[in-house]
Amino acid sequence: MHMEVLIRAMHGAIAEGRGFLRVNEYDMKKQNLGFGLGLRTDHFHHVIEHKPKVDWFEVISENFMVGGGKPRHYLETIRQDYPIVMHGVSMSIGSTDPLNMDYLKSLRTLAAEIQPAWISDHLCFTTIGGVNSHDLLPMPYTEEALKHVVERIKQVQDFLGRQMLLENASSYLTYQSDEMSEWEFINQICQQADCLMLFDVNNIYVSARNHGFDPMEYVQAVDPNRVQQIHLAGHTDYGDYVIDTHDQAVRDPVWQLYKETIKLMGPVSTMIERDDNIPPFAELEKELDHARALSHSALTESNREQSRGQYQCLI
Amino acid sequence: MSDLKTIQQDFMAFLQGKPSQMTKHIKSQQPVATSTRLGIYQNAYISRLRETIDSDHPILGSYLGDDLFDQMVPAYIEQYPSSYPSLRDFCQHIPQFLRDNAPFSEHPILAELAAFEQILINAFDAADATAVGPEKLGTIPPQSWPTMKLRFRPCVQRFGAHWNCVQSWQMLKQEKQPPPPQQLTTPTLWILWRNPERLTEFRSMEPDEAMLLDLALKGGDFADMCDALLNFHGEDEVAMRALTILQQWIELGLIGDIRF
Repeated sequence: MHMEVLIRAMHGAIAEGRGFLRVNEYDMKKQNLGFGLGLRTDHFHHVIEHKPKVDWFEVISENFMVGGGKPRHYLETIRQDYPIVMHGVSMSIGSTDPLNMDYLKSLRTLAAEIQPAWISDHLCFTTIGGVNSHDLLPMPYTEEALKHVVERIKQVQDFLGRQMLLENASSYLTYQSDEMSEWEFINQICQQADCLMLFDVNNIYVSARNHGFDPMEYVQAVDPNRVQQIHLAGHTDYGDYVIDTHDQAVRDPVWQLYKETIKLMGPVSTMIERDDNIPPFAELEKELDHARALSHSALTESNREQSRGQYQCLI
Repeated sequence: MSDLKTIQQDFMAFLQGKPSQMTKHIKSQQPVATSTRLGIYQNAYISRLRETIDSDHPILGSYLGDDLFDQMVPAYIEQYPSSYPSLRDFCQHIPQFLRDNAPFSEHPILAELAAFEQILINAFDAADATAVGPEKLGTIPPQSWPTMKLRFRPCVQRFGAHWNCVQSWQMLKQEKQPPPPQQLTTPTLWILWRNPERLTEFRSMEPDEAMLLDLALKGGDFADMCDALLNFHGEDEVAMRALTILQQWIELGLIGDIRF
């Protein structure tokens, strides 16, 4: 392209308010990594020796914020063969404490070294008054909280120089002060802060059971253009309530919800998140194969339904 | 104060077992009681921190036994709540806690055992640095030997034991009965490091070697080290002993650089 034409096109884009972040967003959205797994210490050797057919791995950022040694060495080896995404648990994006700039610096340094496809954390608060609960504590869904989170995500994205993904956490309680649903809250955040979403299907199921809403209402409400990644995990069912334990296989209702999600959203990078009671690698591969098959059949069904819809229109 | 801040502060106070207004922020949702809902968070808070102590201090846990471990965990969580982004750092005050609080403070070996386990972790994930090989010594011009200084790899840690805690650690590691706690007549200095296979190793040091290590860590040069060795050896043996120790350290892969 001639330089003058290029400059004119850029001026046009700026005049229309199209910033560079938006360009990045489209670049990121094109990136469907396929089917991945959470990388766990127990599987380092297996992954290095057998190079399993897994499309990508997710690592817990905080576990690698160390100087060196085995974990960093294994990650360095594994990332030569697989795309990596970084998933954090301590950003505490919803907290009224100031943003922890030391943490964000460590995160940025780690990202520069690992070159992840993207970085995610949770919609929650973890630290308050300087004390870290190391838990994903739920936000009240209020205008005040919305404004607060949006402002902080913008700051984080500016600092990291990239869009971040925000994951819906599972919750066990509802606040008196709520002014909107969780899906309205997260949709507004993604839109106003221009961030993406890590859509945890299990967490939606868990919260739906704990609060008595229809999980499909959540799935249908979320803007599919914002969903960059999906988590699938296991939970423990106590009858009246469900706890997001991540220590067993994905359960049937979550698989069903995943299939419906893919039917609505199209293909999305999907992974199994197992944090405890870690099984042999082959077991997780089997679960991942099931996710592949479900995604495939969801996409086939959704194409068929769409073409049926077109014929009906013609008639 | 903002509503958001009030809720968050009350939530944290509740988790820590302090008086709070948390219940009044929660909407009642049948059939699960609000206390059950809040209890899920409180259990998660305590059990996650407990698991961290358990996994970072397995040998201390065995030494204490279940009853004393159960006594230590809630007291430690209350006294030293985590202020760290990573659970990796949560246990770092355990030696201090054990030194300060009865009944643990009555058995000084406990704090030492905990400190030893922490040093093992520090050696495990310290920053990487290449070790210098024996050929490095050949590159030092003779006139630079007195002023040369050693730089240790970041994984190298020193540990001074006043009790038989390392021996106890070794026995418990092999799931054997540890010896009774015993104060050492002279403290032993241990050195810990990460080998080329990235496994942590440790060994005790001779008194003269221990003194040289401390001197070198403080930035002393080779001439200072030889001077110090005069406390242990005759004048004609000093240079050879210093060189032998230096060669051992290089062979073990402890030295990251020699500045001259």
